[in-house]
Amino acid sequence: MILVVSEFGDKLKKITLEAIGLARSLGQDVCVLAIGNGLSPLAEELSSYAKVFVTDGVSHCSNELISAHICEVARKTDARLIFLGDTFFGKDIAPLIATQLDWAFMADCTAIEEKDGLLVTRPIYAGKVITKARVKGNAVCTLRAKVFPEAKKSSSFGKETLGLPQITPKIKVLETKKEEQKRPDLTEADIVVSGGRGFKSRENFQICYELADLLGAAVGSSRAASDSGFIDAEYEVGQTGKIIAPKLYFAIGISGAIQHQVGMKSSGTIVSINKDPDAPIFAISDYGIVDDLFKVVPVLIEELKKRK
Amino acid sequence: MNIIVCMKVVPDTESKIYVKDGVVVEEGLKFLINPFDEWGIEEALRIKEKLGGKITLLTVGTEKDVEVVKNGLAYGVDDAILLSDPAFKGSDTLGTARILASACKRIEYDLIICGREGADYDTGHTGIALAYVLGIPYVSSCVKVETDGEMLRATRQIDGGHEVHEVALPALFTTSVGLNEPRYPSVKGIMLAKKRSVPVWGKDIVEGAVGHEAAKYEYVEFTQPEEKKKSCKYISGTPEEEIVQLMLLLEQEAKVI
Repeated sequence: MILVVSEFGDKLKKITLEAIGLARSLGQDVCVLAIGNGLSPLAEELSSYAKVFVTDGVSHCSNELISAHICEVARKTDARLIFLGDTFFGKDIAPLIATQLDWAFMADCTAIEEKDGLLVTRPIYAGKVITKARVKGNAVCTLRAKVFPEAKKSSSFGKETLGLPQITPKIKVLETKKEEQKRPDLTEADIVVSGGRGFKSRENFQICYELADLLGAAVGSSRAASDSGFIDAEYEVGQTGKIIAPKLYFAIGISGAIQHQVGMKSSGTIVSINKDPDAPIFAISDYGIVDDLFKVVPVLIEELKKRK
Repeated sequence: MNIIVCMKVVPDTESKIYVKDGVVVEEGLKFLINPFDEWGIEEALRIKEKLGGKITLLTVGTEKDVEVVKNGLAYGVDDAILLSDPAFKGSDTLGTARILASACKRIEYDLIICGREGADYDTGHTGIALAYVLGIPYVSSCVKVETDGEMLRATRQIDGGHEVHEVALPALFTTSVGLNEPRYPSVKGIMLAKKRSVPVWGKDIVEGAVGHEAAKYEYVEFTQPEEKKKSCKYISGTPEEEIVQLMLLLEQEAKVI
């Protein structure tokens, strides 16, 4: 049995369907756990992909409690693999689950095979080396987004309601602030518009948002842009930020340091706009415009407005 | 307020890293303090400046890491201990956490700071496993922390926002990008650190199974990714001409818009 811990914002995240897809491709029974608040519609949706365990009415919950609960469900279902996304949720909780269960923990997996036991592929050294790990026994794995094909809907697998374990958490969650989700999630978006140091200021960076909104895109940034305070650090694309692979990626005013390339080079089509013809970003781009972004991007915005 | 900062020595991932005969070639690589741990050291210094106390650096590694550990000392950290033993070889992330935990138990601490992950293997397990082994709570991926010596209030990154957690010390937190901007070590600090010796603690302090035998996984294959050869199609002209061409290519060639 493989247990998938589902993730959702306003709606179900693709990474959960990708995790179910991977689990099915391994020829294993799959069940999904949903923990959160107001889960009825989500549980209904999930039940057409796999058997669902629903733990509803949960908010402001600390990692100790969630992890203890997931461990209980793993034991109850006799799971030998647990899949989560390589998201902040996954990064926070998956290592604890693995330690609590005394299982292996494998992060940011890009392939999982059953070959005389479990063989896990993952990139290391900023993607410069690909390694395979042989896992002895059971494992908790976080999966890289947009690598595994999404599961397809089939019949209804049914639902079961669960409650949280009775432990007194040491951690108090005082506040949860979700930024208003008017743009798609960076790791899930089909189009991403990223800006770099070339924007020169936080005010100028607004052009990125305008372009993104016309394209229905998410906004990202280089480390240089977030370090300079043009945008908050959580939008950073790169080794210390998010690793993404949208269908279309705009790198605007981004020189393309290795640490940024790691986060976006698997994108489908890459468009770069930079006035420095020697910027390394061009070497991994499909289309390049060597020009002043402040001249080119406003024209692109006008063109897209015309089409609306 | 006594703080332990766990610090990993990692290769500079900006440098050329390649695989020869199925192993990663270490020769010629520059080694440095894991960037996530550098933020940890900086945060420890800021807390110490406010509340006083002592900062201890812990590194699991080998003798060759001593020079980089001294770079850590140069920031003005009080003590550094290298945890090194042939028996530690082949430890996985949990094994490394057990080694660190055994050392932590011999040091007085109120707070432990770890990087979210090592910039080499990017696993992100050791810090969290360390908290679990020690039986203390943790807050991961922190971008802001405040403490009065009794409580820790930490703002952590979550998907699509932030969360503020509060926990009584002793506790552990892991750093994330945006936590702080590390200072440069002073010339005096560097000179002083050079003269320091770094004590080495070995397997006799360690509780629990570590090393190759105890590891739950083993890396068995290393390869270099096939570089997708891209030849960039350059678009030139006036900004208007460039955009007309770009839109055409995106619509008709790449078919992404």
